[in-house]
Amino acid sequence: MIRDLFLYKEPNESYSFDIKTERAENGTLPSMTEVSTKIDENLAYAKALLSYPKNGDIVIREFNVVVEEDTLRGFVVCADGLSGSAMINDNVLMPLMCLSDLERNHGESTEDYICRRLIPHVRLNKKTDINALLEAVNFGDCAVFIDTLSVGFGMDVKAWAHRSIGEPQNETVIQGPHEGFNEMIRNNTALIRKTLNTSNLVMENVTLGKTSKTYSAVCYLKNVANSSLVDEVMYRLKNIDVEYMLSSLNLMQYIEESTYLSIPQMVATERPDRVCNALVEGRVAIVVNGSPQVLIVPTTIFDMATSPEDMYLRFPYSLLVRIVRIAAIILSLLAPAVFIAIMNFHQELILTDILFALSKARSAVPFSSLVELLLMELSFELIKEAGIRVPGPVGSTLGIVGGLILGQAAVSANIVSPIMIIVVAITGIASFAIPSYQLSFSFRFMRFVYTFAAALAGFFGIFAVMFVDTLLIVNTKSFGAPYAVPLAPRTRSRISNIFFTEPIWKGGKRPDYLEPKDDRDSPRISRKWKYKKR
Amino acid sequence: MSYTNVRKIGNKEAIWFLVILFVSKILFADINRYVGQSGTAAYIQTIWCAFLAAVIFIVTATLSGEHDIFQASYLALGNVGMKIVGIIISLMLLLNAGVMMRVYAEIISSIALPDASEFFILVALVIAAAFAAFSGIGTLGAYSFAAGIVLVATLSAILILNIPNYDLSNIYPVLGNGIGSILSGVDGLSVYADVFLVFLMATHFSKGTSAKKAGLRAIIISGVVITATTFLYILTVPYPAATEFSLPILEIAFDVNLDVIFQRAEGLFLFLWIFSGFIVIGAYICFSILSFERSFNLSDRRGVIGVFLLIGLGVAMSMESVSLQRDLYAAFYMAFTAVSYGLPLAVFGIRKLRGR
Amino acid sequence: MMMRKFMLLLSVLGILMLCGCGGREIDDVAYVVAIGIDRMDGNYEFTFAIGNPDSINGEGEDPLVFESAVSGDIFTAGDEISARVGQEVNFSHAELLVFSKEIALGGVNTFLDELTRNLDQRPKLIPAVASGSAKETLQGVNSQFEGNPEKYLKKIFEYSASPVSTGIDSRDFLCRTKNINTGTALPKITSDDGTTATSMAVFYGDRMIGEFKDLSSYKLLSGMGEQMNCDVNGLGSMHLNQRVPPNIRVRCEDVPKIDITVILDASVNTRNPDISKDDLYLTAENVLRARMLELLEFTSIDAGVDILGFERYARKNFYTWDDWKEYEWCNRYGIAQFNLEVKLIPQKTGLVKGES
Repeated sequence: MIRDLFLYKEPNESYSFDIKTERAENGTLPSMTEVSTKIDENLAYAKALLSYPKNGDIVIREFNVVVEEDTLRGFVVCADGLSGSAMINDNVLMPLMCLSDLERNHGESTEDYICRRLIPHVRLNKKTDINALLEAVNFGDCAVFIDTLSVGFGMDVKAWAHRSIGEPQNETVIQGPHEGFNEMIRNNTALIRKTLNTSNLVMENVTLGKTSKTYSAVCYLKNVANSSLVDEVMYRLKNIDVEYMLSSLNLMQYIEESTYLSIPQMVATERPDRVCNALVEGRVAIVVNGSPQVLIVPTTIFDMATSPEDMYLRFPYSLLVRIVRIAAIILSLLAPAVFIAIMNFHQELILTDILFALSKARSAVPFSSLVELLLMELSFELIKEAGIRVPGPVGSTLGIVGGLILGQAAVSANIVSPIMIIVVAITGIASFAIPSYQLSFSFRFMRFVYTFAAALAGFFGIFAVMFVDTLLIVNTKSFGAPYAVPLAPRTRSRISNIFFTEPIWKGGKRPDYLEPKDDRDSPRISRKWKYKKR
Repeated sequence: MSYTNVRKIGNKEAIWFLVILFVSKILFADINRYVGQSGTAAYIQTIWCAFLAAVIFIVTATLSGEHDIFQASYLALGNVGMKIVGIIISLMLLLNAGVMMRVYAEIISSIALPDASEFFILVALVIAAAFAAFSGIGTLGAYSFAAGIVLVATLSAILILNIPNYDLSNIYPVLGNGIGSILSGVDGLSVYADVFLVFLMATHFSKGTSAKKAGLRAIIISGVVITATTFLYILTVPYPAATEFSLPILEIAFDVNLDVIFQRAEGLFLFLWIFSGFIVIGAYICFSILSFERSFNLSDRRGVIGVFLLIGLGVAMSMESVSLQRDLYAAFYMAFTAVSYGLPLAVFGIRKLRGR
Repeated sequence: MMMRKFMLLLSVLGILMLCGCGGREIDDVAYVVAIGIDRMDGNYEFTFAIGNPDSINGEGEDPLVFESAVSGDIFTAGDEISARVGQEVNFSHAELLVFSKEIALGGVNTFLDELTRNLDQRPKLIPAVASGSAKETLQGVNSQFEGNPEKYLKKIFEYSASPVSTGIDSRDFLCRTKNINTGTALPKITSDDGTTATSMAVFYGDRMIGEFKDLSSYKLLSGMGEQMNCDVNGLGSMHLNQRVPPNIRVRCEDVPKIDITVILDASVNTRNPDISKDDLYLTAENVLRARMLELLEFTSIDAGVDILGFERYARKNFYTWDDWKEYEWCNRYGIAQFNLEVKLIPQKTGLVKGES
């Protein structure tokens, strides 16, 4: 060891890696579009397309089918983990390998014999497009090819592990259904269909993403939804040119009208009941595989402010809750800004008692009100972000520590005044009372704009930003519906509904800005029991 | 109702748009004009002025035959005539926008931002007007419906909060400075001068919207609001002193004693003032551009918005101070009123006479 | 795209230009709670009672800090004191404005005018007159039970139920100085602690013209007699509550005839068991009547100025302001005849049965 210390040794070459420029190789795959009658060609193509055997989860099983005197070669392709082995064994391999010596009917082709008499699977697709068959393997289907046949057979044998139907994470209610969407498109569409069990419910399939081929479904009631609205939704979905579409929230950003506006232009919900309610009104829902959020279009800013629970509470309670929610919305957006405006520009507005108390509280703080507020808001935002990512057991501890640090220690150190903590806390709590997560985010953003405007020009700054903000909202559309309808522009719908609830039996008219085919969803008098003579 | 790229204006939107334009005048010293002329009978004068404005408007609207002013001037005076009428209207509205910007900036500077330079406030007004101009008349109309209700509710709140300060004896003597003073106080017509804007909006109206109905209802609603405000102002501030205050509504907002978190209701006045200012200035700029666009058949009005805003800003900054040049301001406003009533009447009248 | 760039540019420019008008922090301002004005060396000595936030509602030093400056106008004095205390002086929370007797006799219009035109100042600023020096009067203010001196002064001078309040604030005072037909009564502070005012100073226009010792009669005739206590000429005491304002009718003949009916809820008690309740109430009525007549005669004959505002009722007899001016109320008030009726309605507590 001592010798090693003093003797020179050539250093080992240290490992270094740089990414080299590379372009996709075109035309290395043999091109095929149709299923070949030669099984070897189909097999070679399948192996090349699916990178078999490099792709460890792709399974190709060759077998023989005996059709009378002929023994035909065949193979089945599936993805391990996505498809159910038992289903393939029972519906494909067992009948084809073991039961294929049934007597063929006179004139029956091999294709019909296999399709109609051998394979008992309910969702059997016969296709000539080899690429469609093989691509479907990536989504849990299996593809069966038989020698001498110019068609292949695709079967839905999905059996991958997924989250079960549970409670929605972001839209919990106390009273009402507790089912929420999950990442499986068929589960989601099933939840909608079982609630709205009408044959008028249409779920048109659309594939998104050239490479990801993400399945999505556009849902609407064909006797209610405006055809031009449905056409517009389909048009936008079919004219997105992307490689991958991974979730409905990504899709939202591709199809919304104003990306730069802070307010979201469609609702993303995890609740089937909310989607069903929207479909009944004449809206369109977009379900995307892999995403538990379902998009509802069109929407207005007033729809964003409604909670799913409003439908389930009795009228007096829902009215109270709606009023509290409106107050929360106003507080979350304007409380810090109004506070700064009054502290810096309009001290004559507040009572002298409060004035002296505020002055006393602020006297030891070295920062200006704006800096103090920004420090507190930043801390609050940091805690919120950290709270999302922190592991469960540590979460509550972090909350306590954060609150202690921000609350007690900062005040004791005269970094911030107690009143500022109250303002920021009230604002934060109010923002959590907003039902729509996207809307609350938008308000978090706009709050800073209003605060800066208030710090620059007091109430004038606030009102100037408010004017521009509200003007932009009025100017925006969501799939053809003006965003601030029925208030601006004024339509026939009652304005009182947007601020206050009304008893559920008083409804009956669909929102007129949706131009539904049938503008009533229930008769004028729905409680017939009250007026009928027994 | 269908939604296309050019948003249409309905009856209610047109009505509230005009109501905002009319009622915003009383946030200035216009009430003082009524009170100075008629004394304690100022509210009777407001009714009289509203009635006169309604009569003139009905006559003009009847002569219009549901044409807008550009179509009518084309039919009456030919292409050159239409362009001249368009330029007059455009210039008049642009100058008015500039003057209004200056007035609003001065007053906001006095009451809300004493430390800020008026230039900064003017720039903020220009920015807001720019947003309004780009949004277009349809959006402005839609916006006005919601904003109009809120603004009138805010004004009502100020008036209701002042109830403890009302003294019914302040309206005596009931005829104020006499019937002659009341009837001769027609300069109050300037409050309703903007009603001629309905004749510019006609092509933006949705189906079933009528310029005549919208204008008349706007005058009636505004008349009620202005009369009520004037009446309640007189109840609060007794007559000889009532003419002393340059911003009567601010004065009665000052007078409110809330004693719950806030001690005054001045914030409500600021809300009224600033919001109505943005809408009024935005409207003038919008219509000035619309007039120019219709006269010269522009394919895209957005190209000229920047120029118009700069001219408006220039007009606003060219005055040393509206307070110092009060006579000039008064003379301009009278000219604006005369042209607002006279020009549409003349154009529609000529069209009718020519039988086109 | 063009619009977006244009908007962004304008917005950024606007924001940049607005820098520098960031207002002032709440703790960088000295809030004046009371103002005193004295004459000194041909000029005026302004005394400001400034609230000390650290001491208000807390322990330690006095909640008010007194600073004086000699100057020709209040704002110059304010600037001088601002420089001295290192904080900008602000009048928006001032509650009390005290004039020395000398200033009151000379006329207070200058101060009233300049204060009322200042938009910061609140209209609820209560004017009062000190019997001696305004500075000493202010310095004597000592709120033992109320930590906030502004609230203390508000309770003493602003609330109508307070025995020293005349219900006149600075805005009302200004309005009355503009009215030749009416005068004003302000509380006259007579004690060292700055809060006892058992007499009132009578003003005509902006000048003090006299004093009257009985503030309670003024309050009863003005309808402000809530929860008052009076002595019944040594026989006992009465607790009065005026729930309705006095019923006043003025007939404008050659000699104005003023009919006044004052209705009060009263609870009259006596230490003398020999007097019956009916006699006691009758005596109480006569005592009150005599006191109020004394005030009425003082205002009419001695001072010749209508401080109680009967002119508001007199105006109802005229249709136009010219007719009213012709009547010359200000001259005729001196010969007015009063018909005063006082009715005491016994208040029954219901706890102890007694004679009805």
